[in-house]
Amino acid sequence: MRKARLLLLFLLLSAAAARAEDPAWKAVWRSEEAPARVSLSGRVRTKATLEGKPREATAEVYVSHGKLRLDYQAGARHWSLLDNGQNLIRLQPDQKRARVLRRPQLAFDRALAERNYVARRTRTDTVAGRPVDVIEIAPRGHGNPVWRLWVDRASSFVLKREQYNVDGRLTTATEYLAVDFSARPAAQLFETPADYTREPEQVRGERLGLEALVARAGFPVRRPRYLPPGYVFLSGSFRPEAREPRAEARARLRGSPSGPAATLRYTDGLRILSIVQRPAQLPRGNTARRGRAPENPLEVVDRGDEKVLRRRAGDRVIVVVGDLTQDELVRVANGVE
Amino acid sequence: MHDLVAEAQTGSVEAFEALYRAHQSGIYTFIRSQVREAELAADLTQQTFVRAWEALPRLRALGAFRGWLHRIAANLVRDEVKSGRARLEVTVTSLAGDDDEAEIEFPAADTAETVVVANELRDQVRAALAHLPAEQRAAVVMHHLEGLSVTEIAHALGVRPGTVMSRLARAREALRRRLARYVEVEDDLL
Amino acid sequence: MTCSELREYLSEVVVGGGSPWRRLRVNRHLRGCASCRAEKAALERAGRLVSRLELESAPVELWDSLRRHVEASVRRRAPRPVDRLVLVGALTVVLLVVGVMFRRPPTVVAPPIVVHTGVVDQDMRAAVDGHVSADYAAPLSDPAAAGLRLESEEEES
Repeated sequence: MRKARLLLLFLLLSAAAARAEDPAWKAVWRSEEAPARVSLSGRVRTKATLEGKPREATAEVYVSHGKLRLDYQAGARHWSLLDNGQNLIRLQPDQKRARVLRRPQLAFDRALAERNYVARRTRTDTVAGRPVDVIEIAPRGHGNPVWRLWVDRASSFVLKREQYNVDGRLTTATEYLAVDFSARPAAQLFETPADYTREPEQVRGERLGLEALVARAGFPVRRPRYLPPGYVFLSGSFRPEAREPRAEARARLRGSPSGPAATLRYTDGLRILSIVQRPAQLPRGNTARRGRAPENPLEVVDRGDEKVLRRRAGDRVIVVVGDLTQDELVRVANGVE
Repeated sequence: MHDLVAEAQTGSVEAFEALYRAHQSGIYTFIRSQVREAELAADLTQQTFVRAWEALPRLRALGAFRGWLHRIAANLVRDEVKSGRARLEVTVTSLAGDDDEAEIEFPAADTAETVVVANELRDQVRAALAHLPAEQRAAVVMHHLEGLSVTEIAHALGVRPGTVMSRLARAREALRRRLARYVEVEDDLL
Repeated sequence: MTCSELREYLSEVVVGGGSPWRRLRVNRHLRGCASCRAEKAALERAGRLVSRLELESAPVELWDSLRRHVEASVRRRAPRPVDRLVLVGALTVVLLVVGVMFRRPPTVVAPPIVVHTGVVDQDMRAAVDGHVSADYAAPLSDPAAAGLRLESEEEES
């Protein structure tokens, strides 16, 4: 019996040590931290398949110690994205408008990712004239690779990446066509130009406990009884009723959803699953784009990178968004009762 | 401290009590900065010391006791967050001006709300600390309030010292911006 | 070194990081630049303000509860039939594993499923937007593709 305990202890320690020292995972995490360490300018081509439609753009890229700027061009369209570490800012040069997008501060657990996925160095290659290592990341125990990363040997910066969805389809791909690691992009590049109109930013207000939230929400916020293997809770958010009648009316005119909704998010370390709940009575402004009110029990949209499922469950409407098979999506939605 | 640890390793409850008294406020402050509920923070603090007591006979580097204790605490907090048992509290956010889409965020593990304070500056500093991302906040609390070295923090959080430095630097920038009103003065009494 | 370059490294140097060469360059610039010196002073003051915060004490009754546990474990540190405990523990694990393996899966309701080719309304759009926004923060996310997606979503809505 003592020998069995020692053997079990040895196996557990070996597994822990193997995970901690896995060179492929170490390379992956180094590549995640690389944008904070480097300065560069470059040019990328990026492709995404959205609801079956292929999209493509090229972009001039600037990176400076954790800040990022992309100046896109797709046909006649131009736009820019700034990431200064605190906010994502979308710039529309034609209208000189800047829109601050929410940049959630979410904490992802690397050990969770390593438990649910396996990383493997497969081969060497060249991207933008630079030697790279190709690393594949696949669900542990089953499934095709979900990510392929072409990691620059010298800087650990990812020069090319491909992402595949749960059905094995390539959904996004980005590749550097040229890169200059000696560039020192000016600080002003990562700031909103002074002559741009800025949309208002969010400010923080009071804090509530979960019971108080439910009391304010006016409907019970339920946690799912089923989650796909490996998923744990990540974060949540709640949208209350618009406070002012004018704001409510504007939302209705725009067709924006109004009324309370609660979102719970889960992660397997790399992917996210979102579950949105709201009272079943639809707000009046929520018009159906295609002339059909969403009254069917189960509706599914396959957007490529993720699928969306909506169902009505008693007094609530539940929307589940994630890169899951349709069966898993249905199971999750059915488990929110 | 070495002597206390060595004595506690032999089973001395008095020595362990002395270690508890020396480290409880640091551990509790760190956990409280990561977990909202005071009750949960107290529970996790107790669990930290229970685990420390049980694992103490196996500790070889007596001088690393403080960092080792923080590692236990950090692991407990992380497990609590992962399991989703950490109580969800909610932060109301709203747009300045027309609030079209007021949204309330409640992260799984976020900072504790400030205790009752009389001093406005201390309020503001605590609020600025609370607004940091959890991993930056952990590094700041351990470094500035508890005096842990970068190496000790790195060991406690299971990251490289360079990562700790980077978090401290980014946190410092964020704190400087949030406390601009108080730090952009020539009063060097601060 | 220009002021904007210095601002990239200043916080790192203030918290004690940076290579010796970088620190040298930063200090050299600071000697001749009052505005950057002021920025350094502000960063240092921010650190001092945080350092002045007091530690919070754990509730006083925590030690009493902890002491009971510690004293009980000291009493328990007597020889005991370890093999029997290990057997009970192993049996418990086996039972749990078997229980999990043969647990009946949650009942799956099977109403009809309607498949749409795209997001049908703002209700779904809001859910997707929130998800895509959160996905940006996930590890391995592709910022360039995310910017393309965001623009495409704007175009669609």
